Amino acid sequence: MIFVRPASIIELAAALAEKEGKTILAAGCTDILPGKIGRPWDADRIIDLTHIPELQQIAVENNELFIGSCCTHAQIAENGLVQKYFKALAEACAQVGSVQIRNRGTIGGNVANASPAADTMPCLILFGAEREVIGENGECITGFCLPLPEDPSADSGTPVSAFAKLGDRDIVTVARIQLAAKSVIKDGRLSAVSVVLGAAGQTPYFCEEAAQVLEGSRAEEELLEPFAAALAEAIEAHIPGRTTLAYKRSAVKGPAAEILKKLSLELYY
Amino acid sequence: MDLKYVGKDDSVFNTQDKASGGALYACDLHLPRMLHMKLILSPVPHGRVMEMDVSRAQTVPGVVKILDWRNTPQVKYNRGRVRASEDVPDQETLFTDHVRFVGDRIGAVLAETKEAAELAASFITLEIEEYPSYLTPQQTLAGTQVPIHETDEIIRPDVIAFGDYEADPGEELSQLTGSSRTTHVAMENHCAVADYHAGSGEMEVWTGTQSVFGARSAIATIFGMDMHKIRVHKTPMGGSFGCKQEMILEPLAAAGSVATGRPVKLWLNRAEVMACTVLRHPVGTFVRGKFNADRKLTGVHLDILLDAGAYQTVSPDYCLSMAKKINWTYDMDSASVNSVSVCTNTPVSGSYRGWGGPELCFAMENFVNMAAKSYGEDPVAFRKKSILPPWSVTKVGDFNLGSLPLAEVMDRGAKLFGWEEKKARPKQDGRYLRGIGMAISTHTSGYFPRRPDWGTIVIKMEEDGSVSVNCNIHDHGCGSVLAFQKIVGEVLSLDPARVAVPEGDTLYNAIDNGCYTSRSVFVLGRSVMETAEVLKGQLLDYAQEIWSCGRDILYCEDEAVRRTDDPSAALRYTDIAYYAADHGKGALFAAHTYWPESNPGPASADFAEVEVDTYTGHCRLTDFACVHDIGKAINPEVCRSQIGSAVQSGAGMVFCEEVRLDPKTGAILNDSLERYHVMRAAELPDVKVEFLEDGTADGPFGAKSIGEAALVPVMPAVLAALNDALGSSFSSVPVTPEKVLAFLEKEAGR
Repeated sequence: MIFVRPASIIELAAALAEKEGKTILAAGCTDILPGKIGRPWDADRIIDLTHIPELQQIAVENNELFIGSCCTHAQIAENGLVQKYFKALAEACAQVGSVQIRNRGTIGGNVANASPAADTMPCLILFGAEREVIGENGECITGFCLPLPEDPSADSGTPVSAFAKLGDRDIVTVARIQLAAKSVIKDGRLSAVSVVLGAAGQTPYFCEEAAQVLEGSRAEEELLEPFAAALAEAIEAHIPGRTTLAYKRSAVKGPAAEILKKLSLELYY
Repeated sequence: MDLKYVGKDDSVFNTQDKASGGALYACDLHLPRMLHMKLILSPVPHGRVMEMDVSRAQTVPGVVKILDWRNTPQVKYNRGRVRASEDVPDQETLFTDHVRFVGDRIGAVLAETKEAAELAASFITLEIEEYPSYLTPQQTLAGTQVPIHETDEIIRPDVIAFGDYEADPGEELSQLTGSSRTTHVAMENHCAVADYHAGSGEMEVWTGTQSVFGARSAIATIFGMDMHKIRVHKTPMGGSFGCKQEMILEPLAAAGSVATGRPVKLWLNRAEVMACTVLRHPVGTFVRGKFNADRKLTGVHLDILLDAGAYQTVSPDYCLSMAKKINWTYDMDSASVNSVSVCTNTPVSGSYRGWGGPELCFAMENFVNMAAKSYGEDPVAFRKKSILPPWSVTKVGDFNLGSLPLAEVMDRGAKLFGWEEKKARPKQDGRYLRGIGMAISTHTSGYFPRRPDWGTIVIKMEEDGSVSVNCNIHDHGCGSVLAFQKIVGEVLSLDPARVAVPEGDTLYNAIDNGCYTSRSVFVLGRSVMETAEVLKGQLLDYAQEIWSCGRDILYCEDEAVRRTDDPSAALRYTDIAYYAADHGKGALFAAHTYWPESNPGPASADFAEVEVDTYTGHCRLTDFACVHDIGKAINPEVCRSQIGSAVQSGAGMVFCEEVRLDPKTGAILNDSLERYHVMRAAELPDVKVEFLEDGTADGPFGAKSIGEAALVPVMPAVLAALNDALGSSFSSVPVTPEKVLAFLEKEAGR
């Protein structure tokens, strides 16, 4: 087995261009290593992505925020730019796995591992993130570009967002439902609301009906029932007949309440 | 009595090693020429292996031998048997072609590396004729077309009874309690290493076990070997909770070593530990109980249904262990306990911390909590009408239960928890609901009088005044070695760090019953204490000889014999040891046996507060208090940790712990810790603990047991709090978020 550790994007491109049989792209290894317990290593080559400075950057470029694919969850959760413009993503990253997982696991790995319960996915979809890739078939993610919201002003309003997650338990848990929402606060009310549901279907999806419930509102507590009901309907449409449906349909009220509370706090302050 | 070491908090001796990764376990052992074993497990719940194709496996470089039922002894044994003289059913063989559950052992690959063994095992193909399978006790009880076992498929242990329950005119209430399969989640996975020398016929085994003598007995029986040629070492353990008290891995590793003449290591992964060692029994207990006009409990009748899994192993004895505790907590005129242990085509059930105690307590306390609620009475006051008074003699087994301060643990527990204050709080509504609950229990401190028991100890003093103790001790990682060091240190007034207490070794230890029934401190600890006193007597004898003085002026302090009439005079132990040796007096050495003649039941009261999120169904344990009648805490901090670990485990069983089986095959659906949930430290409240230390018991310095006893009342206390929060009457666990929401929806629909 060959171990390759490129130190730049150029070296990475060169490594990817070589056809050396089965290749594993490795970053935080929080999924790769547990997956190999008790199983023989069958790869011909491992490419280590963790020593490429470009992939570890978080920076504003051309009205977009670039997040390198090898940024760890902890790094994203603590980043001021992410907290300022994409709070839901910061919150999602702060809830991935355990402290150890967040310190090692990367956003690129979270997406590439393609779990239906990947915590960053609903947020990336919510914010209209675009993926940057490299390689002949685009096999390696190098980063994500998130279009920046307009800076707060009287005309455009203040962009806000929030994330909530429900798992089997409160911490160190795999999501059973994720909820991400963004909006713009204008004249003390929510406008341009978008809501994404995750872990309640193969992939995350927008829930227009739920967004409509909040549109123009002040995220009042009374909206919880209709908001949760709209989300429940969307879940039902996406996982009809699944054994987990009954629980998720009902339990979505938990994350729904958390989103409402977070948005109302944004309105208040 | 002023105590210097006993009763003081001390950190377990190898904590630093464990925290830093320096501690070595069986899996860290590497012997020259050692082979690695990988088990070949049944993929079907019930069937006959017609063919096993090993041709591809044999091509894997490093594969040395492949074992199966055809080239290994087919001696039937019982993994729970500690001594060959025990009368228990024999159903299990090392490997079998009649596979009885997904995970049953068909064979094993032996290879130069772990990886080669695993790869080769994955290349083996099986042709299996499938039989109808029976995945629940009810299916087996309805009759098996193809028997799981020709005999003892269903065992009905003796009915334990006194008085005439049916004739009792009291009012009858009843309830069915159920608990599900759980896994022990010891941090250290099972591992055993065996090394057989064909030339000498000697076998050496290293294993994290609760009984080196049990492991030796199993190997001697299966391979027809002389016991004196088998040496079993107990290795440091990363927890057991009962999962390492049965002889599962040792005979398998031994078979590999006998077949190859080379050392063999068998080290299971987590999925294998769950599938093919042992799980906690699923138990259904139907309790009927009668109350008189004052609502005092007057009699009970229990029907217990135990799912033994694919082999009976310890299950029939487990039924009896539940039954025999029926009159340890509540006073009653009549009781009868029927039980049945049924084989199914599911993973083997067996030993778990508490051994029937928590199972019986769960059923009885759920019943009592239900009765208190239906009579509208306070659970504490309600219990006081029915508990046994101190120094009661149980009607089952006819022995004295000791000081048994049930009322006192309840009163102090209620105060510690703030029971009355919490009860007086107004009922909330809204998203979060809180509830409170409690439970009490009495457990055991040893085998007496159910089984003959003793502790034979050898102790010696080295020339420098340090001490070595030869005792069949098995520390699971919870500090019994340190407890014994403190006991010896206290008797001799010697720093416990100067006392060596090496763990179980069949070559040197006198035969012993093993680390079962919470007997270590109570029985062996007392034996060690008495033996140290014999040694102390020898020290005083020599001091008397040297000083030519009276015995009554002598006393031991700080590693020296001193005299009351001359504070400056001191004979250090090392001086005495050299005196004895240099004068040819012989060794400072004592062998002594102690036979326990009592078995005080430690009483406990647990109080819990649970908060339920009515939106998501998540439950949180928000407060917990325990008062435990420990007699004397040898090392209080470690004893408090026992309570903490019991809360972690018991609350987990109420909220989330469950080994889920595929309803068609009985295969485990959640065989990893990613899918099998336990309570995390961060999810637990600060557990408040108080010990009652009346010092009346025969254990060392008055100690009673704690390790198992700590777990006994946790589950019913937590479940009662959950039920109080929801206004529900759940009596089967776990109560998952799904069940909570389904209950709330049903209530809302009413």
